[in-house]
Amino acid sequence: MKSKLYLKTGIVVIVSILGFTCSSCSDLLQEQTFGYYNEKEFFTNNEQLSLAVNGVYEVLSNKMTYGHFMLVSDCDTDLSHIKGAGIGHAARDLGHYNVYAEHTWIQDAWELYYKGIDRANRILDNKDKVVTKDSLERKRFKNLIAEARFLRGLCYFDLVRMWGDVPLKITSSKPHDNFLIPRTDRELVYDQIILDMETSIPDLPWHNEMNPYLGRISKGAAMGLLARVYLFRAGYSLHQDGSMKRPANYMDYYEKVKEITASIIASNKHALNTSYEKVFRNVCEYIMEPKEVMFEVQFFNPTGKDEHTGKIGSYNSPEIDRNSSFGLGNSFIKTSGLFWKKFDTGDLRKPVAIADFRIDKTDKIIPIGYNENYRWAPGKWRRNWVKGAPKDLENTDVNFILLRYADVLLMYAEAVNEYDGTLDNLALECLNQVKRRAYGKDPKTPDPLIDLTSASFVGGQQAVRDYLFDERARELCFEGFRRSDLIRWNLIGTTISTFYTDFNKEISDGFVKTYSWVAGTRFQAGKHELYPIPAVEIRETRNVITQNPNY
Amino acid sequence: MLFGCLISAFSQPKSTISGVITDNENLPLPGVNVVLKGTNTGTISNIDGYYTITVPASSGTTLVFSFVGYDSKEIAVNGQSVIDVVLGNSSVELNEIVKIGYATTKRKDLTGSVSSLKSSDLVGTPITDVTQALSGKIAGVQVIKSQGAPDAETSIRVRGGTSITQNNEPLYIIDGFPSEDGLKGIEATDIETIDVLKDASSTAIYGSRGANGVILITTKGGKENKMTIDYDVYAGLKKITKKYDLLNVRDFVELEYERAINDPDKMRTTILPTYGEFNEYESLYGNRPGIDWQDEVFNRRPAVTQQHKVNISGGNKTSQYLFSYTHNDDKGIWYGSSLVRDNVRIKLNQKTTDWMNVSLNVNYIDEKTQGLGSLQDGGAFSRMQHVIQYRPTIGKNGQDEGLIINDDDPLLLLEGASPMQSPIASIEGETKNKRNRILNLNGDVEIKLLKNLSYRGSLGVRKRLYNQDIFYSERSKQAKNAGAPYGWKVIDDAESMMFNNVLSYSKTINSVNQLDLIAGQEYLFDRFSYLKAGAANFPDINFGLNDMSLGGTPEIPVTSIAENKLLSFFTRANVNINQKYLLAASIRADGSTKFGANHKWGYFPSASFAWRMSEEDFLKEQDLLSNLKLRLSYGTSGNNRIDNYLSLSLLGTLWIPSGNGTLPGLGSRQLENPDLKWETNITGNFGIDAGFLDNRIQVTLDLYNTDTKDLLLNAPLPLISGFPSRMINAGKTNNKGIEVSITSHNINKKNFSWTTSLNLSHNKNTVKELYMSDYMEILSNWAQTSEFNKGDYMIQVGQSLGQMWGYELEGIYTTDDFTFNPTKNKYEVKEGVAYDPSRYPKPGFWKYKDVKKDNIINLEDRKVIGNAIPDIYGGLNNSFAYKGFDFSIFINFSIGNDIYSANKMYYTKLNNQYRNSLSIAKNRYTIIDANGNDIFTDPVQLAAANTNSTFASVEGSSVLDFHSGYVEDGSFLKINNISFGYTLPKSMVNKIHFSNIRFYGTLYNLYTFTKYSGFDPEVNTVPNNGMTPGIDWGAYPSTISFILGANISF
Repeated sequence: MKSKLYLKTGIVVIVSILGFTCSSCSDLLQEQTFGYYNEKEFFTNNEQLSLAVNGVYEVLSNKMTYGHFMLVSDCDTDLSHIKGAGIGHAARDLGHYNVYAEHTWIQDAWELYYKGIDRANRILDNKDKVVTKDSLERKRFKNLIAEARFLRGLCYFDLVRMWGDVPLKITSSKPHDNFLIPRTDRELVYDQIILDMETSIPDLPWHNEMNPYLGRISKGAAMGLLARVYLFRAGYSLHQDGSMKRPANYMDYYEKVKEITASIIASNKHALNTSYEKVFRNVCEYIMEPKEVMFEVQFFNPTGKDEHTGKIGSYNSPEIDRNSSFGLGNSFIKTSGLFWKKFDTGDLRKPVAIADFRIDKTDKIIPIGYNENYRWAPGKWRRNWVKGAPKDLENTDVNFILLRYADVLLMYAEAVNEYDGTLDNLALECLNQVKRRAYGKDPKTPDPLIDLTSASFVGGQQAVRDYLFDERARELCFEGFRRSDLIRWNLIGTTISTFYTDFNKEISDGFVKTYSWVAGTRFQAGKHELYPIPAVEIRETRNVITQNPNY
Repeated sequence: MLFGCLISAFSQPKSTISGVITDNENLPLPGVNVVLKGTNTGTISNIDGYYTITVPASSGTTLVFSFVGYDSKEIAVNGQSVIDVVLGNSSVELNEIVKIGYATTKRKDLTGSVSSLKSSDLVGTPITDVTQALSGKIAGVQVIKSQGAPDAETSIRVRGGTSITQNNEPLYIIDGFPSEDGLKGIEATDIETIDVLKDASSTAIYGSRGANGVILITTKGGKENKMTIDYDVYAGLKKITKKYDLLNVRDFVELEYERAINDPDKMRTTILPTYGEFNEYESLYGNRPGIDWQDEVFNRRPAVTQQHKVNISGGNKTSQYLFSYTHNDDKGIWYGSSLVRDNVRIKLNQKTTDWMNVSLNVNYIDEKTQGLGSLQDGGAFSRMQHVIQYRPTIGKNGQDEGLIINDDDPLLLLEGASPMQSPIASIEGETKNKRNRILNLNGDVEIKLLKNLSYRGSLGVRKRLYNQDIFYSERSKQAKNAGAPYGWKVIDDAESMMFNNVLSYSKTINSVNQLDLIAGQEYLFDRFSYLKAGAANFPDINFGLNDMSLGGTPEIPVTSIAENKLLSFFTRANVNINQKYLLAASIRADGSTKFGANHKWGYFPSASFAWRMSEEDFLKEQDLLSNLKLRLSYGTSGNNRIDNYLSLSLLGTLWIPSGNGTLPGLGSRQLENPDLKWETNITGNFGIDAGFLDNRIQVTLDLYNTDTKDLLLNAPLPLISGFPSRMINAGKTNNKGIEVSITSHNINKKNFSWTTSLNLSHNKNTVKELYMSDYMEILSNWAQTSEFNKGDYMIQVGQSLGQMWGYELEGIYTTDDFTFNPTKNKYEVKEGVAYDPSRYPKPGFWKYKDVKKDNIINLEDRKVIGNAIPDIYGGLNNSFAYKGFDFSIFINFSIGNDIYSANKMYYTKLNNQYRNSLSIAKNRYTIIDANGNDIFTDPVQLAAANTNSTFASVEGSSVLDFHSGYVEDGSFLKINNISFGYTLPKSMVNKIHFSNIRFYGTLYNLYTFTKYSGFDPEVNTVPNNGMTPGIDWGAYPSTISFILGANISF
C-alpha cells in the first residue's frame, strides 16, 4: 500500500515537473519580441542610427504628404484647379476651398508630420548612446544627426506654412507625458526651424560628395530650403485675429534669403540643366540630377502598390486613357488658357508645362481645343513620359520635386529686390539664366536679344515683383508652391477673384464652353490662407489646441 | 467480479432480456446502467439505448435502470423477454452533470449561473456550424451572424459583452483546452454537452480570460458497450430567401438618361448612342427582361450541401474508444463558393489500474473554402455591389446576354478608374482559396492518491495552419486595373501548448455534508507566425500561385512572429451543508506576458451561495413546488484579449524608397505603457431555479449587474504625440440584465410527448466613463472612400454601445423651400429654411432636421438615430414525439434592434454612372418631364412633376451622409428550423441486423417576420470589435435550405 502511494506520488511529480520545466524560467513573464527592437536597447551604433533616420524620411514619401496631398494642396490658384465643380469628395473639397476640420487628408498630413517629428526627436534624445570608434564614424554620425535634425525642421516648416501657429514639441513622447500642448507662436516655431536647419547644414555633405547620390538631403538642398524658410518668414500669413500680417523685422529675413542663396550660387555646386523639358523628362525617367533638382522626395514601390508610391504623373498628368500602353493619366489637376497666355511665344516652357491634349487608348495624341482649355493639364509629369510599363493604374514611382536650382535663382532675385529695392547684377544674372534656358539658350551665356537689364523694369521694385509674380508661375508652376507664394505675398484673394472674373469673361465672350470654376465663389479671405486644425486634435486636447480663424 | 458472474451463469437457469431505453422525448439513452437488483450483474445500454442482459430465470427478479441525471426505475421481469424502458427525466436537469471549469458538479449543487445544452438538444437538426446550435437556445447568449456565407464569422456575446473596444468573444474551452479559433474545428454532432458559464463567480476560475463568459464544450467519447458503427448522412439544397428590388430595365435606362441631362457631351456621345432617344425607351425596354444579376449569381447552379459521418465506438470497463470521420461539402449559393471540411477524431480512455486512468484525444480538421464572400480586402470593396448595380441591359444595340460573358463592358471602358465588371467574369477571374488545418492532441492522467485525494495532469498541444491564396487572373478587374495578373499567398501558423496540474479533495461528512476542494496550476503558451509573399506582373498565361516565379515583380515579403504566455494558480472550495446550503469560493492568480511591467499579475476572487429551499421541511409538504433554489454570487474576472507587446516601446521595421530602390528603416510603433493591465469585471448575480408539478415545469431566472472597469481602450492621443492612439486602461461600463428560461414537459406519455422551452434575455448596457472625454465618435469605415469620412457611431457616457449617429431625415427639399431667381438661374433658399452652407441645397436634396435650431445644418445637427443592441432576444422550441415520429420547430427572435443599411445608402447613390439602383429610387425627385426635357429651372413644372416624390434626386442622393432614412428596424422573428424525423421500429430494424435507423428532414430559415428590407436582419458585416454593430454592407444573402438525412447504426 505504501509503495503504491510512492509510485503514485512519483508519477505525479514526474508529470507536474514536466510542466514546470516549461513554465518556471525566471523571466517567464517577460515578453520576447521578434522583429522589433526595444527602444531601451537601441541606438548604440551608426547602423542603428541610420535605420532610424530612414524612418524620418519615410513620412515624406507618403501619399498624404508629398505623394498626393501636396499636389492637391497647391490647388486652386490662377495656375491650376481640381477637375470638376462638385464637392463632397476629399480632393475637390480640399482644392475647392470647401475644407473642414474633419477632412481626413488634413488630419492624415498633420499626423504624419508629427510622426516624423517624434521620430526625429527620438533620435536626438537617444543620440548620446551611439558609440563611434573613429573620426570617420564620428563624421557619419554627425551627418546622420544633421539629417534627422534638418528633417524635423522641414516637417515644422510645412506645418507652420499650412496651419500657422502649431504646437512645438522637440522631445520625444514618453509614457507619462501630458500631450496637452497649446499652439506655439509661429515666430518661435520659425526660430526652432531655423535653428535646426542652420545647425545641421555644416554636417551635411554636398550632393557630389555622396556616392552614390540617392536623394538624401545635401548641403546645397538644405541651404536652399533654409532660404525658402526665411522667404516665407518674411512674407504674410494669416493670424488668429483673422488678419494677414508679417513680422516687423521681416526685412532681416529677406536679407538672410539673399545671403544664403548667394552662397549657394557662389558654391558652383548647382546649375540649371540646359533643357527645361529634360528636367521633367529626367524626373519621369527616374534620373536624378541634383545639380538642378536639388531635393526630391522619393517614391518607389517594387510592385506599384499604395505604400510609398505617389500620384505624380497620373493625378497631375495629361488625360491618358486607362487602356493606353502608358497606364491611366487620371488628370485630376487641370490648368487653363489664362495661364497659357502668361507665356510669350518662344518660351519653350509653355509646351512642357501645359498639355493641351489627351491620349486615347491607342496611344494617339488628341488635341483639346481652346474652348475646352479647362481640360488642359499640367504637362511636366506625363504618364507617357514615365519610364517602364505601368505597375499600377494610378500609382507611380515619380519623385516630388521639392527644390530646384531655378527656385534658388528666383529667390535671390526676389530677396534682393525686397531688401535693396532694386536688382543687382547677380540678381539680373539669376533672372536671365532662368529666362535664357526658357528660350532654349545656354543659361550661362549672355544673350542681348532676350536678356533683362535694370532698364527692363520701368516700374522699379513693383515691376520686378510683377515680373516675378509671372515668372515664378511660368518656371515653377504646379511644383507645389503657387498657393503658398500667393499667400505669403498676400495676393491670394485678389488673384483668385481676378482669375474668376477673367475666366468667366472668356466664357461669356464665347471663347470657352461653360465650366464652373468654383474656387471663385468658395475662397474666403481670412480663412482659407490656413488649413483647419484637425477636429480630432482639438477634441483630444480638450480645446487646449484652438481652431484657426473662421473654421 | 467477472468470475462471480461466470459462476452464477453456469449454476442457474437463465433467460435473456433485451430492450431499448429511451427518454421522455423518445430519444435513445446510451450508457444506462442495467443491474439485476441486489447483485453486481449488470450491463450498459449502447448508443441506441439498446441493452441485453442475462438474468436467472427465477421469479422475483427485478432490473434496476439507472443513469446519472435520470430517475432510476425498477421493473420486475415477470417472464418478459423484451423490456423497453422510458426513463423519466422529471428531475433530469437537477442531477445533470455540469462542467464548472477543472471539475464537474450536479446542477442541483450549482451556485453560479451556468446554462447547458446537451447532445439531445442538438440531435435532429444537422448543422455545419456549432454556433448555429447556440442561436436562441440559451438565455443570455446572443449569437450574431455576420452574414449568410458558409464560412461567415459569427460572434457570440454572453450577457451583452462588457468591453468597448476589445474582443467580446467568450473563452472557448474544448475538452479542457482553450480554443483560439472559437468553435471552428468542431463538429456539432461530436458534442456531448455545451456549458456556458455566465456570471463572474463561475468564470473567476478562468481569471483574466473569463470576463466575457466561458463556453465549455465536451465531446463525445467511447462508451462501455459493444462496438457500434454509426453512419450519419444528409444532403440538401439551398435557395436565396429574397432578392433586392431593383429598377427594371426601362426605369434604369431612364435613370441613365436623367444622370446625363446636365452633361450634353456625355448625352450626345454615350447615352443616346447606347440607349436610344428618350421617346424610344418604352418601346425598346418596356418589356425587356434584362439581366437579373442576382439570379445569375445566386441561382447559377444548385447549391448542394451534404455530410457523411462514420462513427465507431465501444469499449469495456477498462478501455473505451471512439473513432469518427466526418466529411462536409457545402456549396454556397454564390457562384463559385464552397466549403469542404474533413474531420477526424479519436478519443481513447484507459483505466490502467484501479487508481490510474489515462486518456488521449486527437482531433484533426481540414477546412477548405473556395471563392469569395460578398466582401473582400477587409470589407471595403463590396462584390455585392456589382451583383446589385451592374447594369441590366447593354442598350439598344446588342444582346443583354453579352454582358454576362464579356470580361469588359464596352461602355464602362469609357469611364476612368475602377469600372465595374460582370460579376460572373469577376468570379471566374479571381481565385480566393482558404485552407485551415487544425490539429489538437491532448491527454490527461488521473491518479487517485488517497481515498479522498486525486490528481489530474493534462497536457495539450494545438497546431493551426492557415493558408490563403489570392490570385487575380487576366480576366479580373483587379488585373486589368493593375495592368497584369497578380496575387499573393499567406501562411499563418499558430501553435499553443497547455499544461495543468489539479489536485482535488472530496469528502462526505455525516453523509449529508460534502466538502470539495481543488487547487491547481496552469501554463499556457501561444506562438504565431505569419508569412505573406506575392508577385505582380504575371504574364497572361501563367500557373497562378503554383509558380510564382512567373510574376515579373515580386512583392516585398512580410513575416512576423509573436509569443505570449500565461502562468496561473487557482483554488476553489465547495461546501454543501445538509443538502440545503451550498457555498463556493474560488480565486485565481494570472501572470501574463502581455501586460505592463508594473502589472504582470492579477487576482480574481469570487464567492457564491445557494439555498435549496425546497429541501426545507416547510416546503416539502406540498405538490406544486418540486424544486426551489436561490442563488447569490459575486466575483471578478478579467479580459486580456489584446495584442502582444502593447506595453513596450518598440521600434518596428519599415522601408523607404531610395533612388530607384528601397532601403530598410525603423520607426516607433507605439508609445509604451508599463501600467497596462486587464479589464476587470465585477458581477453580482441573483438567480432562482424553480420546478413545479414534479419538475414538469422548470424555470430559471437570473438577474445580474456587471461593472467593468479599467477597460482596455485604444485611446486616441493628440496626434502631436506622434502616435494616433495608445492602449490604456480607462473607462467603465455597466451591464444589467435579466434572463429567463422555462422548460415545460407539457405532455409526457409513453407514446406521445411534447416539450416546450423558451428563453428570454434582456441586457442594458451603459457606458459609465470614457477616457478624457465623455464621448467617442467612431467611423465604421464600411466604405473606405474619401466621400464618407465622418463618424457614424457614437459612444457616449450614460448611453449604451451600438448607437448610430447621423442626421434625422425630414424629407426632401422641394420648390417650396426656395425662391427661384431667374437672373441667376438659381434656387435661393427661403428665409427660415435650414441648410448646409458648405453644400448649398437644390430642390430634390435630402433635408435634415435642424437639431440645434440655428437655421444651419452642419455636423453638430447629428444625433442618435438608431441602436443595434436588441431590447430582448431569445428562442422558443417545441418538440413532439409520437411513437417513432419526432417533430420540432424552433423560433428565434430579437426585438428593438436597428440595422444600418449601408447597402441602401450606396445602392441608391444615383449619380454613379452606368449603375443600377434599388427600386426605391424610382420615386426620386426628378428633373425631367415625361418627354425627357430638363425642367429644373422651371419651378412650376418641377413642382408638378414631383408631387409624389419620396426619394432624393440624382444629385441629392449623391452625397453619402448617414441619415435616419438608412436606419431600419431590425426586429425579427425567425422560423429558424423545422425538423421532422421517423425512427423505424426496433423490431423491424433488428431483423435486418441494424440497431437503429432514423430518417429525417429539416427546413432551415423557413421564414423571417421582419420589416427589414435587406436579405436578413441577422447581419453584422463591419463589427470593428463590436464598436459598430448592425451594419449591412454587401452582406452575403441568407438562404432557405432543406435537408434530408438518415442516422443508421449497426
